[in-house]
Amino acid sequence: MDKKSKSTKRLQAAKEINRIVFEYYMECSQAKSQGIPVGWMPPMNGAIEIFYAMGLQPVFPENWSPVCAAFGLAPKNFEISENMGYSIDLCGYLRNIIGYVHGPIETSQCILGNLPVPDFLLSPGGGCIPVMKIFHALERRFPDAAVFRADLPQVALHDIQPHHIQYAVQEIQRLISFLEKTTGRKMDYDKLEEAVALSDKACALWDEIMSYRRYKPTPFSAAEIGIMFVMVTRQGTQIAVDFLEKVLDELKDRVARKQGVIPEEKIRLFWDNIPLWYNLGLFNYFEEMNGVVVAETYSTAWSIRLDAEDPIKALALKSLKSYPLVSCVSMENRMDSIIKACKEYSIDGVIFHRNKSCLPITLGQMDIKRRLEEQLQIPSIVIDADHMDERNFFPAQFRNRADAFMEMLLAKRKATS
Amino acid sequence: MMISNPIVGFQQAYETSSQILSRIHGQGQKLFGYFCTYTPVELLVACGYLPVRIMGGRGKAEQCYRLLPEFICPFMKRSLERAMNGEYHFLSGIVQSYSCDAVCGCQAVWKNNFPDMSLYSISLPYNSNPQAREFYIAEFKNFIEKLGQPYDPCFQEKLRQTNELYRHVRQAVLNLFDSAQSGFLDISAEEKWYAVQAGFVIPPGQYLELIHRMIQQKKEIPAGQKHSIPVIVSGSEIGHPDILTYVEKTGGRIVWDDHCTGIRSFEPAEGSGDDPMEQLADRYVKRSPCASRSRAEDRWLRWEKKLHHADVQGVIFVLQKFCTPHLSDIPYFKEQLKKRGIPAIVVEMEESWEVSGQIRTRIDGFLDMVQGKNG
Ligand code: SF4
Ligand code: SF4
Repeated sequence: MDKKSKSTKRLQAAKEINRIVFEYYMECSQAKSQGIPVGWMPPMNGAIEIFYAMGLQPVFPENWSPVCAAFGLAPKNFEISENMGYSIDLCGYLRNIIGYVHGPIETSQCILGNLPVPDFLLSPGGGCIPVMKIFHALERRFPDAAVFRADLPQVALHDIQPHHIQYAVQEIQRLISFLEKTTGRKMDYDKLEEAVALSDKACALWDEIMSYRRYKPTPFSAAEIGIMFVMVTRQGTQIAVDFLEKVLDELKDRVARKQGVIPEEKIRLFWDNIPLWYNLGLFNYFEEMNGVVVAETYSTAWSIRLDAEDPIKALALKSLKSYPLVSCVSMENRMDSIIKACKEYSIDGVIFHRNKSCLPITLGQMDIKRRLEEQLQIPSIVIDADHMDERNFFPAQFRNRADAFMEMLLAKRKATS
Repeated sequence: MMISNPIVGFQQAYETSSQILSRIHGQGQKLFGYFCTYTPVELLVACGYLPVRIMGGRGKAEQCYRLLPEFICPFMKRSLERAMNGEYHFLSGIVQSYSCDAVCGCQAVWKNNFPDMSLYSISLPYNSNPQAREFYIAEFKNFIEKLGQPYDPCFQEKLRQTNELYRHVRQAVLNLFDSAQSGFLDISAEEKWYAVQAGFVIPPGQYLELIHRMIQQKKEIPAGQKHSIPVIVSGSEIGHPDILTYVEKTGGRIVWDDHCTGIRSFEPAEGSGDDPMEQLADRYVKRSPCASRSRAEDRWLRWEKKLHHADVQGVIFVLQKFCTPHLSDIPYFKEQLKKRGIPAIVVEMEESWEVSGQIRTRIDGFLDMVQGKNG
């Protein structure tokens, strides 16, 4: 077991996603020369559809971090930010991106190019603390960029009240005014409606794609998590919809042919928390023992619908819901969605990634673990690691725990079959 | 409780808060817990509750690891540990105001493990524009409604009185710190720490009386002490005063602090507005910023004023280990301080709050260096 490894992918769509990733980052690199204003923003909110409707280039620094991890750029970035005084105990996304903008942004030889310097920043209040602090640091690093100080109620899904929606709606309207003023481009509300409709379509397709995981054998595993890239960076565009339709067709075909991920699928697993971006090969590790990671937490973030008839409200609701869906802000939902997934996907065991880099998703795992055991008698293991920083991942320890866990699940399966 | 020496009173109130609060609870008073000083305690008092700040203090963290990861601040670990030991059985409910990820997630853990407690959240805006203020008020009203309290004229009057009471309390504490910093009140950092902590558990009216008495007992700081090294201490919750005492014993004089067991949460004493809810919202919009809810630059504005007036020669950041909001602001502060030629040191504390040999050596070395630098 290595500290770093790449996952083996089976879907044809995996090749297509590589092209989409490449094109997206090329688009980012070329935006400046084409006179397209560039704005950096946090993920999982309703601003992306606004950007695409106004012809602006969205850039997601948080999403750049997995790229850095996958291409081995993260250690250098960590070194830079840690030398600046950022503690090793801070989220790896924060340490990576702050290091990147203070160093390699102008020099790195990444095949995906480099992120373009922002013309404006959508600096959030709400969401998690590391993301908020990342943007505060970016404001300092790019003093010429205009700053939109965004605000969003942090509220559990079942607690959302009309005044939360009203405030989120006002924030979306304030953002549009800011963008119009900063970029000189006018919002075309027909285009916005179109972008929201496309976003809704992508979410509906996403849900449908996820539902195919209930088949045995499952047509795809968490090793294909890369397809989520379109949900992060291309929501509100035809690119996402076209790609997801292709994925869906491929899955239908695989299910019809009963083509699974491995020759003999014996154990179905669920992965909680962000994957190890520098070691997606970990998902394949279980396959050696006839186990497949059928589902994961992260995909729930896109399980929402948007009403294109009222696009501003739809984006306000999307902004209010996305982050709480996967974090401790809405623990009950998080718990319920894992329980639901375990039932729907006939999960045999759950892997909890206790992620040193992400407190908001790690907190509450022990409660979820207990509930899974009590309510569904589903066993689980806890893996100590970090989604960005390989220094916090110990392969031997992982292997010991995972081997024992898989042996137990296999014995259980044998006893019941 | 009638204690002639207020300092002793504060210390006792803090040390025996569990017993005192249990007794108060037994007498029929409803108690409500909160973690963060951004929580509008005025609303709780006006709704008939005694607000009690949940504190970590110092001690062991053992049981809490059944529910929490190791990489969370001692404040949250210890609070949960204490709750698991039954030390907060008297609370009817808890409210959190999304101060940071740790508090938000821990509140959810409490919710799962203490089903008898009602748990509420107040989402506070990060901005201060008119929409944010309106949202503040809507969220406050939403909270009292959840507590079963309509926003009627009778409640408005109660809130007006409570705002007034807290204005006096905060002003009194600000005066106390002011007197201490200007050298007119001989009070140690430890005593100030107890004075602040006690305010988180004693009913506000009673607390106000004790603070007044403390100020009246003022005595000028001995001349020799005034020659010690003026430093600032900054951080989040300081769980035990030993670290502050050590700084003073080693030659430091804490002339100002920016942590949430110090002066930070008391500024400003009041807000303005046409009705009590507006005044309350205004007060919390304007309150001294904490790293968890603001930009380092906004905090620095407040620091600059202080650095201008007090002859600060060094800064000691006393942080809870794994405290993301404060750790994230360190590079900016260090850079600004460096530009002004003011050295700084970061000390990270565990749940024992033990001032270990290593910490002592670092503080000794730091203060020696500062002294050497300033002749
Ligand atoms: S990984 Fe977790 S802590 Fe880090 S930025 Fe994302 S949500 Fe925040
Ligand atoms: S601000 Fe820091 S010390 Fe306070 S609860 Fe959050 S992480 Fe803990």
